[in-house]
Amino acid sequence: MTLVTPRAEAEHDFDALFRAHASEVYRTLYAFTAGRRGIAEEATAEAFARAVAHAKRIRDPLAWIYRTAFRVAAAELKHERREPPEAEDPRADDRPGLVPLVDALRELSPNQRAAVVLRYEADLPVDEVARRMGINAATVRVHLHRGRTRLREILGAEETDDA
Amino acid sequence: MPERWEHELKKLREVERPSTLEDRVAEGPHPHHEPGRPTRERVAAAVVAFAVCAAVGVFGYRTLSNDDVDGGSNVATGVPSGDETLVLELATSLGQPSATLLYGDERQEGVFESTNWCPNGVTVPDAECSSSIADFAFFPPVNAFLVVPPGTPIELTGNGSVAAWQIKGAADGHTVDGSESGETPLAHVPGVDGRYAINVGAHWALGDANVWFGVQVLSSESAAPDVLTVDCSLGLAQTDTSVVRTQSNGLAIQVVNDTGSSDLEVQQDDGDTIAIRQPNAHNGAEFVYGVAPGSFAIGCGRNVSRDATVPFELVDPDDNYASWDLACGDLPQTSFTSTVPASHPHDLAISELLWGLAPDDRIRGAGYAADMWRLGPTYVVQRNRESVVRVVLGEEGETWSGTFQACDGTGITLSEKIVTTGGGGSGPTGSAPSGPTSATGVTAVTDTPLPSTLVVRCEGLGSAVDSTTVLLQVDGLHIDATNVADAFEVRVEDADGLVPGGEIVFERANERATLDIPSGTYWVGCENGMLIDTWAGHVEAPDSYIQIDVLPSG
Repeated sequence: MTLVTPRAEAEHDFDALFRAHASEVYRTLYAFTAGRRGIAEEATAEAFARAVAHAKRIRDPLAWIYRTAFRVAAAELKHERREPPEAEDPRADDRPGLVPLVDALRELSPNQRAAVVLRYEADLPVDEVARRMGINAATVRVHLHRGRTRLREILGAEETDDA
Repeated sequence: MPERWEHELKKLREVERPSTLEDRVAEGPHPHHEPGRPTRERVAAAVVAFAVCAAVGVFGYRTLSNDDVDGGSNVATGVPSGDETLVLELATSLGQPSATLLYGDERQEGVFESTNWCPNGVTVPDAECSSSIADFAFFPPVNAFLVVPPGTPIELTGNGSVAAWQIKGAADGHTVDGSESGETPLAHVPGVDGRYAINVGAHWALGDANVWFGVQVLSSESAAPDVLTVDCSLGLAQTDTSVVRTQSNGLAIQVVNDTGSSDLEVQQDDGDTIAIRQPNAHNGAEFVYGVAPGSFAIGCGRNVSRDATVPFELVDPDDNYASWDLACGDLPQTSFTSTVPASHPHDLAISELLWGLAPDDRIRGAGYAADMWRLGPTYVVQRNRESVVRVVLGEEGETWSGTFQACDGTGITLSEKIVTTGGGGSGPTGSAPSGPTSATGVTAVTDTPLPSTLVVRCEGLGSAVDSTTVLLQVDGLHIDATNVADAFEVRVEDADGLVPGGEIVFERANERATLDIPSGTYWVGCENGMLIDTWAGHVEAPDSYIQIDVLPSG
């Protein structure tokens, strides 16, 4: 039996893709995992590595990398819930200014974190967020609504001067 | 100006990717991230197994189609009865070899790995023979397994004989038993519970063939696993058991998929009814569904053809499920009111409402424990594990009201100890069971006013409402939500999956809220919000939501 997989129409330049998007993917995964740098790095790297390995089967590499990274990270988070690491503070090597944000993100579900970061940190439109998360736009809007609500509760809704 | 939370979020831009990231990418994919390794091990095992079996028959070079590989599609599974013989029938049908396993009423057609067939006989000069060989993608090459008790004897029938045989563990391909010469007869299945692949080198006067069958040895229903693992990695469903036990809240399914995610579909035994449709099932996802015990087939994808599904039986040896359906079929229901205080727990209230219970009768929540609220608090009386009375409770002010149905001849009626409210209703609706009626304290109520509050209960993985129609109040939709399980929040979604009134997050077991939404149709569900893979809106998971109509007041 042969798996039927879509064939890419053109070769992808993964070096350029990595240079352009690796930081953005990593930041999203950092948020998705609520500051677990190790998982974020490993999921990002694994996703890019798999993309290179399966290059000819991938039609939309960036979305594919995001979805793969989310899956790898989700599996690691699930594994971590079953077998918690030994006393590793995920915020230990964060900049002090990030601690309130990381603490707040931990109060959101992983999907809420991903949606909020892609929409409001990466400034992507909802449809693009949906494409990268592999879910539909209506679901993204729900995650955004809930994520915003929760962040407002935790971090505050007052306006600030600097963007 | 951005809000503070947006400002904080922008700080993520300070996060820089680790300098080691590029080196790690250069290392390539790491195997420990690939949850499908067991699948690959099975495929590898298949290669080994086929190499061993090559000595059994004479192979040609035609590759069978996928349909051939799927095999075993006519198999129905069941729970072993313990007094049958497993019949291996090696016959010829329409001039071709035929291999079938039969156990009671169950039947499994063998999957041919290879054949060498000479219609005019193998011994005639210049015999015209045809050969075939399959190229299986996974091991074992069957996806359905006859369920038999340990040590079930095997009886050979037909005009063929067994020239060689092997029994292999289906999970890992290790050889459990066998005879390359056929001197030791294939006499019985293994005595230990598990799934096995039986490989038979069959011989007929006109040729020979290498055939595979699947059996699952199961000593009792209680020995079946309580989680069904379905592997969608290859696009076709592969399961780890043909019999699965209920959990306390239903059928538990775990998903394996190392090639992405796909929909899951569970079909009723009739093949036409979809019992469960689970979109976007990722690797590692776990689901529980409150489906009644019975026969099903599971497939990967949407609108899966029956041939691409794998049958399984959901059994209930632990008696987790109490059927909603009365043993005597549908009956008209009698509505009633009572003065049993609503503060009385349901089971106590039911015992006060009913009269004539036999000593061994059991009052139980209908369905699974987590399901009993879907139509309101619903209880059944079980006699010999059959539901013979059904009562659906509803609050009428400070007392219990509801509906009552009872099979004829049970002797169970509404209690005459109950003093009714309602001031002489219009008499029983439908054919009320014999027993006390208006004169003795129970009256029928035919025009129940629409509730002004939506009562929601989050139980197990499901949600339930007391009424699917509710009146909008001047300040919005009133909701009374109770968290009986581990729900994170209640969601009232509109048709687009949005939550126009905002979520009701559980800070305590009971939350009362007013949602500022217009009248219309909505979908109500409970979410366990902190677990990825379990969340979906009504668009993605319609079975997890209840559709309600919010009507304008007045």
